[in-house]
Amino acid sequence: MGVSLNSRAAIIHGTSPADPNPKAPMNREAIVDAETTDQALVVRFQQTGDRAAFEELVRRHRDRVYGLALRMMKNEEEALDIVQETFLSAFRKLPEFRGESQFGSWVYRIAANFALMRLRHQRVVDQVEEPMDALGDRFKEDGRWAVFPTGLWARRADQVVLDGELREVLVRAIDALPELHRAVFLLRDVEGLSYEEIAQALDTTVSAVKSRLHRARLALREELNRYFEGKEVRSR
Amino acid sequence: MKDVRCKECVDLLLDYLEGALPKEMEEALDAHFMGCPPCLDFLDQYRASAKLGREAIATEMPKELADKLHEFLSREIE
Repeated sequence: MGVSLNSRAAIIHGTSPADPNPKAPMNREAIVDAETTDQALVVRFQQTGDRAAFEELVRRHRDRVYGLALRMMKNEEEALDIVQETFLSAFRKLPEFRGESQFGSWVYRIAANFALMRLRHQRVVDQVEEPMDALGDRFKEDGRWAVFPTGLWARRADQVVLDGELREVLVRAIDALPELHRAVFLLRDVEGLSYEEIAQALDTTVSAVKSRLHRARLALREELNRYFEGKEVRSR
Repeated sequence: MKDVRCKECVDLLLDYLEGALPKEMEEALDAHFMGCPPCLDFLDQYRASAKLGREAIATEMPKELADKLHEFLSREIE
């Protein structure tokens, strides 16, 4: 690969020397600058069929699509299947992609849909999800706290450092969320999609998306609180 | 000024943090948080939970799987 050390350009190889695609570039190596936007890569692919542009999009987004798929499926092999289906589908649909959303948001939605379809097929997703009540009976009838949400960690919540143990606690808490709550949390808090995009992807309403996100965050807070309170008790 | 209780503050946290509440309600929650340390603690924890959850699951695709993905795509999109 002829990449000079001081060049920010990445050389992306074509997929096969025997590529029959007449639109593929004559030169099997296309230069894709690291600063080329996703949108520019999409347009290049649509106009010239440049595989290198598509491969660069895959390279840029595969980790996040994989992270989303892994947390949805909780299994590396099935996550790989979802990532493969997602990018194959993206390749086929990309000529019609009109750029109403970011390329990243678009593929994350495709991945979430594939994951949910597979989970539904495995009957993991209940048709009617039990409502989550992460706060239980924390409030008195007059709406004031019955049990204060204290714990010393609240005073330094912004400075909490994520170590291995805490990471495990959080991953377990995310894995324990009902499937649709987990999908909403991943699409919004991890991938940053808009409520409208998520509602469209999950075939539901914006208010249902917000409600699930809120409950997912409350459930994570509850687990974090349990973890930190346990640590504080042990250190006394 | 509208009087809000702790439970209402918690129920409205998502919209409050995104600035999506009507002005009067936002001001009522501002006032409540100023005078209610437990609710302020809860707000900090709620915000931190989303951030820490995001950080906890950040991952890279293992190289072996990334290679399989690229082999798969090369094969399928011929």
